[in-house]
Amino acid sequence: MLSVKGLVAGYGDVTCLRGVSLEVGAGEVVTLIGANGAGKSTTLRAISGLLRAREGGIWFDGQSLAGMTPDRIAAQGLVHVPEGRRIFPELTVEENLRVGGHARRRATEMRDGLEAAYHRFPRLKDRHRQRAGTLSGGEQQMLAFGRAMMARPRLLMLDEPTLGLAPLMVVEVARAVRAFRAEGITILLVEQNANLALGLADRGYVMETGRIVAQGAAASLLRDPDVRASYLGAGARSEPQHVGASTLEGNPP
Amino acid sequence: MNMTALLEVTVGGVAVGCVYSLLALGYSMIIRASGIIHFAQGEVMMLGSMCGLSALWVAPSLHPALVLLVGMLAGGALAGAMELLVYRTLRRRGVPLVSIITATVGFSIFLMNAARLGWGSEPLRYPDMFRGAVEVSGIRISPQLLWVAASGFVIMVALQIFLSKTRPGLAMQAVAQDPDAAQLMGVNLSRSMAATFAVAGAMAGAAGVMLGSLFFSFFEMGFITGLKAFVAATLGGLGSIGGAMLGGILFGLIETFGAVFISSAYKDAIGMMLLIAILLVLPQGLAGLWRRLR
Ligand SMILES: Nc1ncnc2c1ncn2[C@@H]1O[C@H](COP(=O)(O)OP(=O)(O)O)[C@@H](O)[C@H]1O
Ligand SMILES: [Mg+2]
Repeated sequence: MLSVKGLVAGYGDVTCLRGVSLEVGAGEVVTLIGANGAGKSTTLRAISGLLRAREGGIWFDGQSLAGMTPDRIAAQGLVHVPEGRRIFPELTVEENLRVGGHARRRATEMRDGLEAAYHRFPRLKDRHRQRAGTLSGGEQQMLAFGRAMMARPRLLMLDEPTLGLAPLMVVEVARAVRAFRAEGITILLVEQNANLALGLADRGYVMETGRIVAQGAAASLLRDPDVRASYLGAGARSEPQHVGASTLEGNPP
Repeated sequence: MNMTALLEVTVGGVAVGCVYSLLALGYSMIIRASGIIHFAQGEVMMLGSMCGLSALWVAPSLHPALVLLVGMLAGGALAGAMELLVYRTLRRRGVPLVSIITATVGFSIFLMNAARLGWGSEPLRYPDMFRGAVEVSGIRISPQLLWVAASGFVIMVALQIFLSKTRPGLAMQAVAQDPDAAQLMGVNLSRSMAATFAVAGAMAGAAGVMLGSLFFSFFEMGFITGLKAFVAATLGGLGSIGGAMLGGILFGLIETFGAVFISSAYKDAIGMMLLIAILLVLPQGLAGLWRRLR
């Protein structure tokens, strides 16, 4: 469904992506994991057209996205929920959703969309007249999801949806991702929380300094010793309660 | 000062204030969306004024609302074209914002001279669109002033409704708050930006017809009025819609009362000094005060 080949991109003179290739098939949940600064967000920005690729190509449903503006790419059903949620803080919750439904020209389409978003995220309905900037982080993430739903996604690109959220909200995010999938929406999930991401995904890609360094089924990446050591905090994460000499010996500094 | 005079000065201040508000709204909308301080806004107003006047020359019995509409269409078309043909191109070529702002000053001077060519250098009186006077509990008020104040309020309410209830209005607000996120939601940036300039220009055009009908139309009328409206926008908190409305009306009142109670010769200076004083206390303008109170 989405196919990225040899993507090279960056900011100014700095090159951040050095030939990224990845595939997302229809109905799949694919995750892209990697350390902070690896280039995950940049990859998504290049796919959604916010950043122009210097080399390489991006195809969605077989159609090249080269040179398309972000609004046209979104109109194809490739919807990007950017890092940091990026809701419109001074608009109300409902106004945010309406902007998400920009392509819904008819009032009935808009109403159906709002209903679906409120059904999925009842908290948004309770707060529909509240200014979005005053929502909690978790509520803002739900709003970002609801707003993206309004844009009628066929493929959703989610950039770090759990960043900075309380554990309870992380569970909510995971539930929302599963619900999107159950609806038949294809998902490309970027996460630093690799445990969670690989738990949700069918397949995964691991990114390091602008390159894909590993890929495979989520289950096998979860077992991969390198991936475990670098991204799953093997040892340190699995035995957090042992603080003392033995832990220090068993783990790298 | 008796009640009659007080009421007259107040209505006058509000009427002039509405003119500033409409102009200030344009400054604020444009700066929010594009970062550009649109110094040609006063000249857009002046051309709106001239076009409204010309419409009255052609059709002397034209309804005042239609004259207003002519001014709005002229101002909207002019500002929209400026964005589409010039500012957008400059942005795409990577011209720094400061240089684009300088270009708006150039535009302002160009438009002033163009108007001088088209309408001459003499102040032109608007024909009286209203006769008689309105009586409010025994006090007579000029219908011209009431008309201007009422039109101003109606237009500002309409703008609010447009911005918060319609699809293009919400898109414009979204672009002003987060252009990237707006694009990701399917909003076309160029189109929304052009619409912002057009709406801002329409506000200015309306202001031009209103100001012209109160005093006269003049090729230089946009210069000082435009600057004062920019000051009013700053007073309200640059970029804030509510702040621009309030700032304009407050500035009109301050100026009018200053002229009556202190000196009409120095009313401009009084307004400016007050602005600096207010900014010392409220660095973010009235909008900052509002945010702090909430
Ligand atoms: N707007 C920007 N301007 C310049 N460099 C940037 C910008 N955004 C990100 N970078 C750089 O690009 C690299 C990749 O960043 P990013 O894609 O955000 O990483 P990730 O999302 O994997 O944490 C980093 O080195 C970062 O410093
Ligand atoms: Mg990132």
